[in-house]
Amino acid sequence: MKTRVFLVDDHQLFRKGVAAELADAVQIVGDAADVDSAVVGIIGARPQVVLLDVHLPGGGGASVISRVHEREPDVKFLALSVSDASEDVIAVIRAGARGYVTKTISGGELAAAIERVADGDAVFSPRLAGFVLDAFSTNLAVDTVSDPELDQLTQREKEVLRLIARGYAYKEIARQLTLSVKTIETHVSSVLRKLQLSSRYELTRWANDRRL
Amino acid sequence: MPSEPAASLPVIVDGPAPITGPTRPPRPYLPTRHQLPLGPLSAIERTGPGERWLGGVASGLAVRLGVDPSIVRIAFVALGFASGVGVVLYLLAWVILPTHAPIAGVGRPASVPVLHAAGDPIAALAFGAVVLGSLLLIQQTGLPFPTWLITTIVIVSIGFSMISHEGRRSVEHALSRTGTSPWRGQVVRFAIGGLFVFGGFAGVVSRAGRLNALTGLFFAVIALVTGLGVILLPWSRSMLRALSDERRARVRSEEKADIAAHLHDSVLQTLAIIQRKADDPKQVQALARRQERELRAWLFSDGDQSAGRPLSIREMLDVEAEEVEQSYGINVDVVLVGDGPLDDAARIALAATREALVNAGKHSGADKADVYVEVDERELVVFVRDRGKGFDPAAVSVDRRGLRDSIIGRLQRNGGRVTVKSAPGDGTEVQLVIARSPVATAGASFDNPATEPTKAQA
Repeated sequence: MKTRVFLVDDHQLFRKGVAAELADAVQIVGDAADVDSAVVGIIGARPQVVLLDVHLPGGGGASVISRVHEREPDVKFLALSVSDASEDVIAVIRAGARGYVTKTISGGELAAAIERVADGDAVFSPRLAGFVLDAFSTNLAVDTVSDPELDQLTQREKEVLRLIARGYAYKEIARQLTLSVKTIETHVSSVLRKLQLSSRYELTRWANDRRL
Repeated sequence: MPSEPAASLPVIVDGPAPITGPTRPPRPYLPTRHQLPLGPLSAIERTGPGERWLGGVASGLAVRLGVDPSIVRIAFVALGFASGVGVVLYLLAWVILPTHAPIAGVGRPASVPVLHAAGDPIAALAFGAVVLGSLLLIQQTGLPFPTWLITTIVIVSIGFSMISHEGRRSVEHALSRTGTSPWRGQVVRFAIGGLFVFGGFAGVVSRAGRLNALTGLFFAVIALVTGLGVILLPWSRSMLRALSDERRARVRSEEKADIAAHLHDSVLQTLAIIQRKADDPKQVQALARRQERELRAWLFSDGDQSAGRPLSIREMLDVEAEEVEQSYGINVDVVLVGDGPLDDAARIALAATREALVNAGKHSGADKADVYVEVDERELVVFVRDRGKGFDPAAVSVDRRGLRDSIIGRLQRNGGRVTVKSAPGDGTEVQLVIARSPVATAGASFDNPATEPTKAQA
């Protein structure tokens, strides 16, 4: 059975293009162009994966995720954007998206990423890996309420992220580090979890500071 | 000064407007070297062979003053009549002023004309004749000027003139190591010149010997020291000058290497694309225009003030990625961790990064390249990766300058290192590492005199 996918993007042409490109690989169950219609549409269509633009009129991708998750916590989101603004990307990931890819991604890669998200894995594009490395390596003041377990990446996680940022696929990373692909996926998921669960409000502040 | 015709306003020819500056009005006649503006005394140079009669003093002065050389020559002769002032001045100027050396090209003019070499003894004799004539004239005025002194001065002058030329030439030969070295002729002439000089001074000494013993010794020592000085002066002078010339040449050749790397990155690349896209006049035009803008910006800026404010590494990377995407039809994904001002190290690393991207665009066949840059206070690390057809790094031919010069050479000249991972069919990854040079480690970057004060982070 094909994965059921919902498209949210304010550019109609882009939605059509993606739908055409993914037609063979997934089943498109609906699309929307703004936050409100997206929330209604997603709850009605019950897709497995939502392809979500980071920038949306009426509140942005992050608010779609939080509003849908109130009602349907099992819907998975994959952020897809031309936006290179790290604060938007980090905000969407923090809101609960399972990954982030740029719009320059090829159709095949996008289909693969959707499958991976549907299976519960995290998807890191090179750019997201860069953002995360940047966020965690920034020398933020030590926060008294922070959880050191969550607020630091392990050496291995950093290594994996670096290779992702360099454009390596999971399989290539596994070969490079002589680990299994499964282990790589575990590392990536734990990075994502840390990103989403970290109590460090600095992470958000870091993202906001990037706007400057 | 000739007045310029009023109608000599810039005429804009039909076509694209010139991009830089106002057009210069056409000159009524070609400016000659007689029209150079007056400069400081140090800017006076004796003219080279071919333009000079004797030592090139008069014509050199004429160039600086913007008058005809014959006027200066007449002035010198006139001053010569005035109790020899002109002669003394001329001799002084001959010794002090440097010969004009064309600056274009690397090093000094490769060939000292044969004519010059052959003319040396004749010039020396002529010089001696002028001195003799002047002194005889002075004697006519009734001054107590014994004939033996005149003879001495003339002989010394001739000898000095010969040595002065020979010394200069032999030093040039020794340093340049080019061309056939007529050592024998030089030695002979040097010896003759030396004989003249010492003979002259010996005359003084023997004269002095007729005075009482103490004064005689005094004169003898003075004469000997002066004689030695006269022989060695031109020699040491030209030795010093040749050394500084040599250093200039070295600096120039380093500059040349950098210019070559830059031209390879920009102009040669553009020409290569233009050849490939020759059937698309629009694109060719766009490429040519952009290259022109770039080259202008590079030529006429000091390199780092082109944009008015310091670029950050991120901005520069974005610009490069966009350029490569446009020119080579390859998608470039840039991931940057950390950021900072575009200092020298970053500039070098990014220039090499661009070259690596261009290689990916031209040779890999891949439709996408990933750039990952990590910046911290100590170093800058760049990875450029493509999934193209790859190559065998050991089998890259020597004439392929891109990887060797523009990437590896450029980094190594500046204390960085490059790792290239590639295999046929397996894509390519180029890794660049370069130390950043904050104020604290400025001393370490000896090879890089252009280290600018670190700018506040943008």
